[in-house]
Amino acid sequence: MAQRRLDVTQKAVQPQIPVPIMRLPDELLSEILTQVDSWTVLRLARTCRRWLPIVREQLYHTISCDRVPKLRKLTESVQKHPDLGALVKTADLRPLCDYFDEEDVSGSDTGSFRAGYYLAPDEGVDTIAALLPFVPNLVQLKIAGFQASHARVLLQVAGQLAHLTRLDLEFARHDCEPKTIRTWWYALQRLRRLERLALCSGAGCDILPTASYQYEPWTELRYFRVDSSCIPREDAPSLSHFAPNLKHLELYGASDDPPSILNFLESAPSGLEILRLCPETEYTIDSLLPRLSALKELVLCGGSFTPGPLLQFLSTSPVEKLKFETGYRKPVLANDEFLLAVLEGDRRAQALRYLAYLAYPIRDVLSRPENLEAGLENVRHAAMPKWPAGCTEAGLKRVLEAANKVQVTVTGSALACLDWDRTWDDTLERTAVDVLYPASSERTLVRLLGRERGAHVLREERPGLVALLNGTAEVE
Amino acid sequence: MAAAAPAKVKLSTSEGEEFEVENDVAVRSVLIKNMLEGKSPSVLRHVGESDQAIPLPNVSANVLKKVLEWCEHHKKDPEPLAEDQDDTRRKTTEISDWDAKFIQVDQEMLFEIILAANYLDIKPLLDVGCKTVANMIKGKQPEEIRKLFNIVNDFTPEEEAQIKKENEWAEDR
Repeated sequence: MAQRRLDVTQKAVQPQIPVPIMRLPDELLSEILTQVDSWTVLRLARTCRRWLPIVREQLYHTISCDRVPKLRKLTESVQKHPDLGALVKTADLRPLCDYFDEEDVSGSDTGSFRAGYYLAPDEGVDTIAALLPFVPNLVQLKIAGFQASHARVLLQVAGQLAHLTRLDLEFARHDCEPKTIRTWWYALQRLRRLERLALCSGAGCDILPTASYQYEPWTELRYFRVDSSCIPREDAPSLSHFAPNLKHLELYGASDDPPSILNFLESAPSGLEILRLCPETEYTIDSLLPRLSALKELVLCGGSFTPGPLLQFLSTSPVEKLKFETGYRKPVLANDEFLLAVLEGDRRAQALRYLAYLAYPIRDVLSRPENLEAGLENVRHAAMPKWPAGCTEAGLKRVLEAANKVQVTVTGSALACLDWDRTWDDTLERTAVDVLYPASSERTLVRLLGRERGAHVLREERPGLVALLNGTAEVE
Repeated sequence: MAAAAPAKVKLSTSEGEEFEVENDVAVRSVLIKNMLEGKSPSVLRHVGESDQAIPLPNVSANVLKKVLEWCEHHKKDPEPLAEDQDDTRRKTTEISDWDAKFIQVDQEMLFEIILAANYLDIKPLLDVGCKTVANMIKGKQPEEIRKLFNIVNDFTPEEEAQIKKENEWAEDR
């Protein structure tokens, strides 16, 4: 029997004088929906005709799938009801099989990518290929777990993603043959409206093609982020040619070839406004600075610079936001003497409005099990906000005063030191856990600390914390 | 600075009843605030200096009284910062004890308050109202929700089953 389509435009059969809740306009009902959990939202869809389209709008606007069976059901649904697929604007697809153990996929956490690198099974990738043609209005897409050989999937559907402007691809560990890279690039280049592109990969997946590839410049591309070993080799393409209107560039991860990184950075178009460098490789950005004449925001985590040239650059550049984050491995050279020079005197950064210094984020400390091996003392030592190398308490106070005078906002963990009572207390523990895992349990703690040993240390030495966690625990 | 009597403003309800309130109570409503500052095109020019009441044709006296009670209690609240207004913060903020007690009213009044808060542009009060409704709905089955709000089920059983099927994917964790 043919299934009759559900006509949501059919007039709702509700009383002449509506019951109070039905007097609310759609936008207020929609506002209420945003406050409700997804389980309840699904029930609301079946409540009455008036609510169904409002619920659908919300339910399908952003879809998130991290299991193959779920992805398959969604795909079947939008294939059957194209009007639902047309509502999808944002998709986050992590086709993971049920037989994958969660511990296997919680690897390193790099920036916006929630999980670590994992491999999507072929059936998951095939399901993505089947889904994408049915979500024609997709604007933002994030896929994790691709292998190099999955380029064909993107190639298949790229032509149909006419509205796609943001793409995040997280690659699994897999070697890319030059031929495969070309296929990837051919597929990516079909997405002509791309404004944001983020490429992240596990070690060994080199995704940038060589300069010899025939690029069609991406004129819309404003944001480009490359991670890990996506980092360019010596024959990388010129950014000015490849993305002539690029405004925002982020570079993360390690490379065994510092000169090629610099080469790549130096090829950036002169209109670049935001530069964020998080390299695990040692190189100095001194030679890069004169090219960044339009720069408004500079974030340095790791990497290195010579104070003189950077001060010279800041004093004449339009940089409004300056942020230093000490790399986990080594501190940046921004001590209080340097920060003071940025804020006062002849070479002060004229355009500066915002200065941040972040030293040793707690997340880093707690997520590294080696910090726990030597017991809690080590955790305490590592998690305590650090004075930036070469800074003194008096020096930082002067920095704050100088910033105040020129109306620069200063934030950062160094400031926390000024009020820090230098004892490891429940507040720190609470903050660390609250920030990282709002609904915690001992199991979360184990995951948080990486391995059993870490949890054991805390259990033995901080029974209070474990009680605290269990007290606020939600059933997992 | 000399201590002057607090400036007052008159508000007129849908029934034409007038309320005189202190400015700093009334300006919890962004609509009224903009009118007083001459930022919004208003039916009244120089409404601040005028003796004439601001007409609020969409709000009845009993609802306005209730809304003003909220404004009075919250008149000293700091202005929310622009960056604080993102969704995540609003989602996690709990309703305060005072607000929870304030909003313990019948459904008729609850939805009138929500409509008035929306019309008068009082975002924090609108949030309290929406969260309260959300809390009433949470964890309930369709039939329970209908019963709660007196909503007529205008789906056939087949349609209801179809909706359940089409959204089945979202039931998976």
